[in-house]
Amino acid sequence: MKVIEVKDLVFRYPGNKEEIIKGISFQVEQGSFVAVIGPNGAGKSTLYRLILKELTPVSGTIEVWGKKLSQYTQKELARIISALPSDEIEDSSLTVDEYLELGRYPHSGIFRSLKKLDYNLIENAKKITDIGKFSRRFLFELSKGELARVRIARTIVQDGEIYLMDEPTAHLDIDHKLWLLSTLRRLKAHLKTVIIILHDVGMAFKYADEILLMDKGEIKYFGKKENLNPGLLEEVFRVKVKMLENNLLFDER
Amino acid sequence: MKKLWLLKIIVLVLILGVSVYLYVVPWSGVSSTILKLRFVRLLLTLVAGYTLSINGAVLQSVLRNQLADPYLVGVTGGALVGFTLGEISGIRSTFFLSLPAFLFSTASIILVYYLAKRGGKVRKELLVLSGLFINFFSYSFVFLMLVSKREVLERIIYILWGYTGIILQKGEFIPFISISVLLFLVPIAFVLLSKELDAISLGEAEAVSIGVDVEKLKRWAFLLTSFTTAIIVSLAGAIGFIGLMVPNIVRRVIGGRHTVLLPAAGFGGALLALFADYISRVLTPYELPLGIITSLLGVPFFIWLLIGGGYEGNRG
Repeated sequence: MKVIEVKDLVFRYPGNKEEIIKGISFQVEQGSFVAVIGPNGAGKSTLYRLILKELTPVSGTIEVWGKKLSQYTQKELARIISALPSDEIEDSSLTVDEYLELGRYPHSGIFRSLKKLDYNLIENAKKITDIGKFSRRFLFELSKGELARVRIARTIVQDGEIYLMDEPTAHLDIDHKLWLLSTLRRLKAHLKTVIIILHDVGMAFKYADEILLMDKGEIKYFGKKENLNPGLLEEVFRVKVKMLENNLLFDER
Repeated sequence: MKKLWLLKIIVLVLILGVSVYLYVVPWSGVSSTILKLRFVRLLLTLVAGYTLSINGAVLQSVLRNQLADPYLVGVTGGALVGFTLGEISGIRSTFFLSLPAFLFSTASIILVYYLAKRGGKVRKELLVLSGLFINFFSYSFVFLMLVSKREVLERIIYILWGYTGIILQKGEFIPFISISVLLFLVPIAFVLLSKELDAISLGEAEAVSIGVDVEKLKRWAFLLTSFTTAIIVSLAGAIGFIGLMVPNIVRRVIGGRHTVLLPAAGFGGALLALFADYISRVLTPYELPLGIITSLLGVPFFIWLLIGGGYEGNRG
């Protein structure tokens, strides 16, 4: 079952000739774990913003669950996609609990009061991410790593069918990095789809099933990681790549 | 609901403040005309403080800028230009003057917003700077108009600094009460949008991922804050800094959750306006515009915010 289908997607900023996304097409099946990789300026974050309707494409379409993006309200979309942007939190005078409750916003009705189910989801997410001990602290009192875990907890609270994350591991220590990726892998059992933008190519290769390799607004490769030709990585990232027991090793060229 | 204690304290002090005000300013033994004047002044002072403070809180969240305030970002300045144009073209009714004021205040906030936007992000310094330049322009424009039309001089001088002791013309009492009720009700729309405001204060990308239509929210926020500010300006003139001081203090004490932040800021703003009006009465034998008092308090507060009163500390 197709969860996301992108067709001939083109994007450039108004008044700017240079195309940031140059007519890409791909589709993601339900339950797959896709890592989006590529050097800086490849268009990864732009793709994230296009899928979330933050940006409007010049041409081409994006469909989620077989329905065009334009037919969704922002709230309906957030019910399906648990997204995590790479942008830092700006004003953070909410407490962790207050922030997590916002994760239920897309599911709330007009009167907004949270129900037992909502609180259970929040408690569960706090347990998974191990942030229970600072749930009453303000967000600005947290360290970067703690804040990153709180934001991941928010996406779990949101409970979408699709997890779309832009660089969620950026501020995490190595143990939490590994923990996050294996947690996301476990979501497969619940038929959730994960699309995650990662800078760390080695990590992407280790945990993802499929790799979407982007460069200069184009897709260079999309498919099973086993079939990815290391020579392509060498070309795109301008490094030397070696394969060792299913792990990628990198060296200068 | 948590954190209601501050709201309760503010409401209590506000009731106390109004009682003291009623006690100090005699209400009995005066003619009904004077009684009416005093009532109008009290009501306008409270409503102005309430509205401006909530508008400040909303602008601070929507723009993620602690320095945002209807006065500092140019909404008030725009309203002044519109008001003066209306006054000069001969509109006599206080209430119809708020129409051109609304037009120009909305134009100002949109202009300032786009001037401050660089590469998809609103730059904090540019926002306040653009607002200040709008204000320079507005005040110059108003003075220019004054020179060319001296008969409105006295009224406009007070409008420039904020003055709640307006004298209503015949038949304006009932419309005034209705407008006051309206000004009390419009900010409640923002309380209904609390969740959305909570989300956008975290940043636009974050708000989008939570499911908030940020463009729509910003449009409503700009429109409603310009609308209510324009009415306040055309009734009571440019009262600055209430929207800067009160929400910032409240935010520091109980945090940024809008369901409590907005009402607490509203009643706190009413209290500060009442205090400023009281001081302006007792300080000199002549009546000072209360905007002078709020500016005298506001500028040191602004500097305190800039040099570290949490200006960085509150950022993620």
